[in-house]
Amino acid sequence: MSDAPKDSTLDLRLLGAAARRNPGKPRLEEEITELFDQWRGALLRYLSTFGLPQHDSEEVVQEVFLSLFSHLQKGKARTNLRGWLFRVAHNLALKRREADRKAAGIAANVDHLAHPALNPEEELASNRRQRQLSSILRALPEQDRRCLYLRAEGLRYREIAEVVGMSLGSVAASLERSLARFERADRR
Amino acid sequence: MLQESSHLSDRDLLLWADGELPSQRTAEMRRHLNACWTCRTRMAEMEHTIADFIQLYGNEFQQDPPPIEGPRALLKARMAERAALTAVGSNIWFSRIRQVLAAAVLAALLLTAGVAIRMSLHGDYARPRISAVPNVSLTPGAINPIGIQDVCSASVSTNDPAVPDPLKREVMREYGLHDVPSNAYEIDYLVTPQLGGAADIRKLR
Repeated sequence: MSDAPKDSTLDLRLLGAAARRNPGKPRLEEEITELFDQWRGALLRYLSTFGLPQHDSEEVVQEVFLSLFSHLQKGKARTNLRGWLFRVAHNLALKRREADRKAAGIAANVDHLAHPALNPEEELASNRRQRQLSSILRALPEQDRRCLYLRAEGLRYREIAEVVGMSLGSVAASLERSLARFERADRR
Repeated sequence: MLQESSHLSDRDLLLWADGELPSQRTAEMRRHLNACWTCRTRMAEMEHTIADFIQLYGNEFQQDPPPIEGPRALLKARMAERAALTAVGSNIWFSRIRQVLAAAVLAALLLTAGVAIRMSLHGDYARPRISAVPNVSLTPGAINPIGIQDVCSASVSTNDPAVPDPLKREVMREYGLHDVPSNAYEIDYLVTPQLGGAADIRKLR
């Protein structure tokens, strides 16, 4: 699923390459723009799992990269930027969704899976198994779904643990549990 | 060490497939999977489930993001704005530091001037301005009439005789030095006695 580099060390090579290509331009802005080009798509996709409207997701991505700009301006750590980006996006999305829920008068403890409404044609096109998996996915606890989405975006277990605030073992257990639920659907 | 007869758990298979195991454990599992059809089949089932989920994820969530040019330009503009604000903030900060330093220097100068004025008006430092040159009206230079034989006499000492303390204090009083110890100033003869100077207050300074 993830078309972005799996290894965050690539980020650092990218940063160095950007600096060499445009020595006259402000280096940091150039670095951030390169990272934006690289990760925007994956972040938008992950943000869409929160049920945020497209415009809101785009705005969250902007906030993420402006935060990264400030983060690097202050000379803070550049290690594991991919995990950093997803963690900030995750937290901003949670805040925005919470604000949207309050504005809409929806109780905060009601867990809604972001799931775009399928029109009749899409319903027909979607095969039975996909519909089954979709209903199972919607029934999973949100943390389990988050682990699946982040793994689908190519994050390592350690990065997922940092984003969702779980232990490494809990991430492994969550993924195993979710896959087992999908498999049980096959046996029905 | 894995037993050939025992099968791998789903957790181990998942961790192995995701590359989350240490290298030694990974090598052990690879050897086991090479030997065990049951575990390979189970692994294939899990991979199949993962593939189904990835398809679902792709179907349900956005795949093709909107064109990037607009958002990229917006981000660049926002970064430029933020960088400018940071620079202005730094300038304001440095400007404030300069203002504080200037105020501190000014305060130090005023304090020094105040202390100097106070010292000149009060306490032990309240001394009249005294010229190094003897005041002619106070020290006109009294002499004794002597001849060349007196000057060249071998009995004449080359050292000036000491000025008695009462005479020192009288000299200092005439020069406006009141309540000052007699040893605070050196009192010299205007004309040394060996050359005919008189031990008279008028030739001391």
